[in-house]
Amino acid sequence: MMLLAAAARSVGCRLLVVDHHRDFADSLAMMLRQRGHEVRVAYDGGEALDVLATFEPQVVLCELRLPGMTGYELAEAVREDPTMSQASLIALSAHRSGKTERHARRAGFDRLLLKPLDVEELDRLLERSQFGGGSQT
Amino acid sequence: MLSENALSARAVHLVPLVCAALLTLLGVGTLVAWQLGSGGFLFAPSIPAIEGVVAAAFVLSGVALLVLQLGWGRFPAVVGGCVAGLALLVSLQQVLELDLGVDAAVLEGLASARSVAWVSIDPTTLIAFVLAGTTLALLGTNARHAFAGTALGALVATLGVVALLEGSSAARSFEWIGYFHTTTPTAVGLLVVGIGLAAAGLERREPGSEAVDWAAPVAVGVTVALIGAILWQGLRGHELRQLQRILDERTQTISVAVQNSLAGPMAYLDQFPYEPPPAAEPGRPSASPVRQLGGHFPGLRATTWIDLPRGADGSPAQALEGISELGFLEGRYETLLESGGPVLSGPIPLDGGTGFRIVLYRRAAEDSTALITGVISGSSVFASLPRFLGSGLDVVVLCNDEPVFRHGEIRADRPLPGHRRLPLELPGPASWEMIVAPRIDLLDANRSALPEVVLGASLVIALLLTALTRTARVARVRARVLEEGQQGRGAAAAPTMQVADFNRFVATLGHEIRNPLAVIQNVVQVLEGDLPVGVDEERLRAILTRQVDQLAHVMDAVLDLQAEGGPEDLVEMRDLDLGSLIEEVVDAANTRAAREDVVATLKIDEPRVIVKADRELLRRAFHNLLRFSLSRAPAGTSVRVAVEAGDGARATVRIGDRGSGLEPGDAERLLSPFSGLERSVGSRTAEGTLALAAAGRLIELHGGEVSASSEGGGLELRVLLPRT
Repeated sequence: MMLLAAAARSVGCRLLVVDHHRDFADSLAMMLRQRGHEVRVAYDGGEALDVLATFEPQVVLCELRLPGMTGYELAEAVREDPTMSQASLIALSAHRSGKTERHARRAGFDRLLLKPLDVEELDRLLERSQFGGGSQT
Repeated sequence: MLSENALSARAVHLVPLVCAALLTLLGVGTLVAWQLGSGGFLFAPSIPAIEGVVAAAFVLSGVALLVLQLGWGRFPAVVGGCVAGLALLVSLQQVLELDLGVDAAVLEGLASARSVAWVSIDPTTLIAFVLAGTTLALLGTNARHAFAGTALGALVATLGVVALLEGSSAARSFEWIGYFHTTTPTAVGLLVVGIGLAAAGLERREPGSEAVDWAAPVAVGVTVALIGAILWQGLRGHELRQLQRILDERTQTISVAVQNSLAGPMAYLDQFPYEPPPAAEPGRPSASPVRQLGGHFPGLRATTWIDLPRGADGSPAQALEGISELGFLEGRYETLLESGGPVLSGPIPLDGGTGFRIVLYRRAAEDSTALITGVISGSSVFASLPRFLGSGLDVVVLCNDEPVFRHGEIRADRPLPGHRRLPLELPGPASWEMIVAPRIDLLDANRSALPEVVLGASLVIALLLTALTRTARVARVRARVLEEGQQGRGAAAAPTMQVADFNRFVATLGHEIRNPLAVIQNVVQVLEGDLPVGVDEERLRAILTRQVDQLAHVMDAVLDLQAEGGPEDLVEMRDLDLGSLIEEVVDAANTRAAREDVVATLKIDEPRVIVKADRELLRRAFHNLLRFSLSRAPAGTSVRVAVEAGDGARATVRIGDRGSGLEPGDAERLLSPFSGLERSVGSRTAEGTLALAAAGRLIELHGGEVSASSEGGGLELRVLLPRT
């Protein structure tokens, strides 16, 4: 665990965290920065698009339920952007169901992670994104 | 439907108040009557002090009920405890004869006249007061005990009925009548206490009952009040007057009988002239100084001459020694010589062991020391008395303040209330008196059982009516719930939850718990390593505190939504100002905000909007609604809260945010705990919907409704609450 964290810290990713739940977005950003990643936070879809105009993340961690533009709509918008084609999109949700997962994949997400997050799996995903990355659909 | 609910709630609220007033009047009336010295005979030949205890208990119960209904906190619990304690103390006093400041003479009276004593403070009354006190205590401490309160109240009322019926006819002929017999005012008082308590419990049990449910308790209350008034003013007063008359008549008859019984033998003995004894013959032993008197008088026996020779020192007393027939004189010799007339020797058991013997004697002549004595036996001269005495009177005959004849348990030095004391006209210098007191069987024999039977019957009917209407209501509610279930409007009716609903509920619950858990897990991860730049422990602590608060908030909502033991059990309605309540909620939200970038603003249209509500439950409902709106408001905006007078019958509270609107159909789902995620895929956010649904249920408990709309952008939650 600590080894993995140390490894991730040495090879930081550029990450965007999108969640209207501020405490979650902020605490996740803290955790990821601690691991050496460069993290930006957006609290809704519109804000996320603003960030994406100037910041090119390798990974976007995005909650599906957002006020205004939903996570699905955001993913579709991101996928349409050619500069973001290689980015890894990870959906976050507090609700687990096959239907949600299918819906997320259709919208362009590579993976769906359930809250609370499995930290080791997240570290693994970020590591993979760093070295090979890209869409895995 | 709504106004009907409000009306019925008010009526159920009123029954205990009416009972409280009745009780207080009854108790105060009794106390005043007692104090004015109308004697125990006002109710029965009761013990005034104990009747006073009962009256005091009534006053206490009445005040406690009154206070309970007006909603002054825990005071009823304290008074209820006092009533129960008082009853227990009195029962202890009964058992141990503790002196509690009650007149000692009264206590001894109790001991010596058991049957009369038990009438006033019978076990039925004591048990009833213990129950009543406990009920009050339960109702005062927690509305959750309302059901127990109702049950105990009903039990008290039943005991009242038992006391009435037992006292009326069936048990009258038995020896143990006293154990169940209580006075009518006491029984009526118990009934009123019971009904008042039951109604008080009923109201707390069912805040939103319908007209038919309060009709029965009101009918009971009115019946009791009417019959009580009739008993009090008419029949009972008539009965008592009749009893007074009977007592006067019999006292007169008995005094004549006693007088004649004594005067006849005395006059007869007076007729005999003194005859000196025959001279003693020398050389033979002297004859016995006791000689039989010639002649005969009915009821008089052992009539004798007694010649008292003087001793060597001139005293007749010494000469008496050794004469066994003179044992009864016992030092009265001097008195006899001084009084010179008929004197009494005191009661002496007869040979058969029954009745009394009175020895009358006088000096035979001025200058002699001889006596004429006659023995009157209780079984002869007083033979005619039991005919009068057997019908409910106790008698003591006194000569020179000493009891010489006694019938019943009465004691001359401690006569019972309601007694008569009158002098007897008899020859001679001795003073004669008679005390007559009524016994309970005199009262019983002359009491009309009709009012009690009518009262008992009407109460039984009223209780049946209550039971039937309650059953009907349960059936009605069940039917309505089923109907709503079929129409798919499960809103706040948790019992109709179907399997699909349950799954959605669990999904929603899972979602609402997972979010704060995820944050907590993130923070734990951060704490495992070195803190990143710009992050301090205080910030992490603040985040954790908010998550715990959120989890508690979710659990509160779940508790408010549960089917069994939900908020219905806690409801305690009273009038409150809606505006000030909302102000409190808004202030709390602004000072303890989960977010610092939004603020709630309040606008109150009308200064005093009074609603009948449970303050805590209603506060929770508005807290949930406001918190939901605050959670979805965009940063830098405000949530507007407005309290409006509404349409007169119902007050309106609007909570509007500037967040994203809702899609068609979302508004309805928003307020259902079963909206879940499956059905609301595509809706913008589902967080806080459990608390929202809980708020909906709490508002419905108050006869109000919540609706959501998103016309003109943002989301507006609108609450309608019936005004008082």
